[in-house]
Amino acid sequence: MRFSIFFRMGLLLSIVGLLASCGQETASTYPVNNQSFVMEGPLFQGPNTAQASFAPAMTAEGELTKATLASAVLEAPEGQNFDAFSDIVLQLVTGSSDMIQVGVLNPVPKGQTSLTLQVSQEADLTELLSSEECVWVIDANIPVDMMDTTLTFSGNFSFDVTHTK
Amino acid sequence: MKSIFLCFCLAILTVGMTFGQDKKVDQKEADRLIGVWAPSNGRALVKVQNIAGKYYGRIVKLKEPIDPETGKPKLDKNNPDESLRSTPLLGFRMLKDFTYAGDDEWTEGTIYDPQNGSLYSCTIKMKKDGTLDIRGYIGVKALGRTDVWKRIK
Repeated sequence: MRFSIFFRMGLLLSIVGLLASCGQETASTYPVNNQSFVMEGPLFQGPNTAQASFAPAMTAEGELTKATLASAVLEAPEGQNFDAFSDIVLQLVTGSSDMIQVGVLNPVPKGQTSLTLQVSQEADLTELLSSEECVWVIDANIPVDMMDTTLTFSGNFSFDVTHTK
Repeated sequence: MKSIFLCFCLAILTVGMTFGQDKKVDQKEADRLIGVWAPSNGRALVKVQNIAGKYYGRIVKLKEPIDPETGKPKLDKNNPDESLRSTPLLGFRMLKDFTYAGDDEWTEGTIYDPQNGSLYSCTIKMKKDGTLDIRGYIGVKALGRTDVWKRIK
């Protein structure tokens, strides 16, 4: 009789423990650094586009259940700045999911060699980051024609991600 | 025996080449959407381009680029995501995620109306005269609204 009670309690605790471990969430930050963007000339007044891609490779275990962009920082090459741009819009897309706007900076402050974009508080990127390849799309308005100019810059990004075991 | 084998190889080669050509023709057909288009209201020009195999259209020219209330370039002030309301309308991607479905039709995309911040499902049909029927709808396609866009470039 006593064995039976202990056995039942043990079984119950095991099930509770199993359920608890099943729903265990792990929050972490996933950085994507040194993304290289090229805006090839001739560049005409108005919106121009640059792209870069990356293959998400997160080390955390479990299924990706939540992902948002935490930060987006653009860096100009040494000795240059972002004065060519009047504003910048950042988007993310994959071949199998819809394009989502994830950041913006308007206006672009003058004389800056590093820009921190305002990132979306709502854009859910779980589906995109579950894809094999993601593409950053940067649209930037240029106030004047720049016929013989090609602009290059890099981007450092980080995502807040949650994995569930 | 040799001639039968040769015929068989030629047949496979021909079929393979035919399929390859079909794929090229499809891509060329699909890319007809690329260009600059004018909606019927004449307020903007929209440039369509291909990104990662899908088609996107962004506003490249506004008839009235300045917001009379602020005296500054117009912003996407009705964006449901408040953190993105400083996004400029010039350059805004209002057509997103279209794929070519054949028969002069692009589907599975969305169109954004900056006037009210609403996003609609959308299909694009290229007519014989080269204009586009842009049909935006919520839920049921039959209950949507169609606008005719003309090619500028």
